[in-house]
Amino acid sequence: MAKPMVATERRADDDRFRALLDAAVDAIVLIDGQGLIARFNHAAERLFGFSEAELQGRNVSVLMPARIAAEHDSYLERYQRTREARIIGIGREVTGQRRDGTQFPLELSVGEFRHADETGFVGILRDLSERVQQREAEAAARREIDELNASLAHSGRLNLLGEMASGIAHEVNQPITAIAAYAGACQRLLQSGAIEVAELRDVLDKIRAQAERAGQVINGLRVLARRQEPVQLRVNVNRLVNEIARLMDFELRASGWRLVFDLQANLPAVNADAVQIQQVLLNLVRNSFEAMLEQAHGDSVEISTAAAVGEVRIRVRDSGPGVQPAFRKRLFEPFQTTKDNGMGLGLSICQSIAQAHDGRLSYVDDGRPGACFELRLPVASD
Amino acid sequence: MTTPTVYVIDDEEPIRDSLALLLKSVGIASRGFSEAREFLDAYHPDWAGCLLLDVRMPHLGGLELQQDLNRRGVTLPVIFMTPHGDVSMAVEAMRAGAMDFLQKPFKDDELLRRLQAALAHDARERERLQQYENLRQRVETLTPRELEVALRIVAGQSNKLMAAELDLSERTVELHRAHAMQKLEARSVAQLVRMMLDVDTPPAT
Repeated sequence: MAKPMVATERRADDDRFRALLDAAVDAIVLIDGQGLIARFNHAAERLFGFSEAELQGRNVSVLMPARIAAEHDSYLERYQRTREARIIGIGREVTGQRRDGTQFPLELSVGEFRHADETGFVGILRDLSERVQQREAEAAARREIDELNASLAHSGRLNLLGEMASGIAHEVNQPITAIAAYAGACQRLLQSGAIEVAELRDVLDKIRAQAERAGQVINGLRVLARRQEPVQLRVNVNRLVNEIARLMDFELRASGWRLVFDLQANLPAVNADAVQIQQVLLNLVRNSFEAMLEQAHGDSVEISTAAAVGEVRIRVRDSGPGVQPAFRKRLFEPFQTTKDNGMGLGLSICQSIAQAHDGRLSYVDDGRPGACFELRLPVASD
Repeated sequence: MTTPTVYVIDDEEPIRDSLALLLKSVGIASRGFSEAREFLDAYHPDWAGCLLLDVRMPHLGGLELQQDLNRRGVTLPVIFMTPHGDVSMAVEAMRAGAMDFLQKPFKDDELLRRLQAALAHDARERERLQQYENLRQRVETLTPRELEVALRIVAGQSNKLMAAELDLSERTVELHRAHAMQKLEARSVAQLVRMMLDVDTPPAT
């Protein structure tokens, strides 16, 4: 009587075990030491599209894409031999293959079980399709946001351009108007024979100068309109400043101007587009020399650097008479200029570059003589 | 009166210089000013010709200058140079009483054509003003009685009616009438009527 009793108990255990497996939300696959499928729960049936009856006794590799399936037996064999777990007790993301051949990502965790003389492995599988799709959607959204930001930054610059568009038209139209008038005059004067060669040559020089001026306006704009993202890297401000001297070497020697440096050692680094910051500094230095030349006052420009709280400060100071207080507040507006031939865009472009670096360009009156411009850039965070 | 001249007001030297040469090439006198204030300080009522103004200039802009000129009774026609495509500024300029506007950059032929039209307009206006001034001076030489009679002629009164209303003899009325016509240099009653109406409405400035 004992025997049927055991058999009944055993069947009862078995049923309970099966019910347990089928109740699990995750797919569960039991295989023996050779990789043959012993149990395949309801969740697994739903996931792969196979029924348990179809799979029992078949190699588990039927659930894998061909390239993995081919290796699976050798993985098992190696594990039996070396007991070196690559996946067992660890879990990883793998690719499964459904009955219809479609493949999908799943998270697989594998445990080894030993019961009486039986050994085998239990694999718990969780469908990752949704999670992967979500991850891909997130990545796509992030890319989209990045693109949007880039185009926003671009349209920000375009906006700046838009604001200045009427002024720019004026700046380009002025030299073109002069060129057209000069040329028209020459034609008429030549026709009536009322112009001397010397005068003609003089007018041609003026035409060329105006054409160059129009070209400068366009060049100034190109810097602004460039879609290219500024490349901001950690830079040493003192090194940038020293390069200015090298860049201006020829101009300085030709003109007899002097550039003086007062650089604080061990400045913290800033995040900056080196080329743009140098453009700002070059512009400030050239402005200074031009202003001094025009006012026939002074011949040297001092560049100093210093660390302030969370910032690095660069000052460009000339030895001229300084900027009239009345003009100071309009210095950074487009098309404000005291120069006879300037287009008045320089400082407003410089200011927008400073702002793109979360910095600020300002006119400083510290009681010392000379015009002094200050560029402040935030210290790079580590 | 001075030679008709184009007064160029533009803050940029190359514009003034090139326009001066262009005007010289067609035999038009010109004079340049770097800002409106400079022009106003130099201005003399005798000046004839026209103004060529950049609408956007530092300090006193072109439009403000136009208003200032209107206030001062300066009648020189004004042509504005406006930025290309800036319709609102052009409209504003015309509203402020500009005669014309040109968008920079402009063709030299176009500029010269408009300037010549402005110069001709100014000459005509000056001529009309001169005639009005002459007429006004002639009317001022009339005695009160002669003026009374002239006005009644305009109103269509007959000598007889005038004589009755003014308590004069018809002969005396005829005498005043003859004197008035003579002084005004009117060859007919119709002409006298027109003169009296003209002098009542000075030319628009």
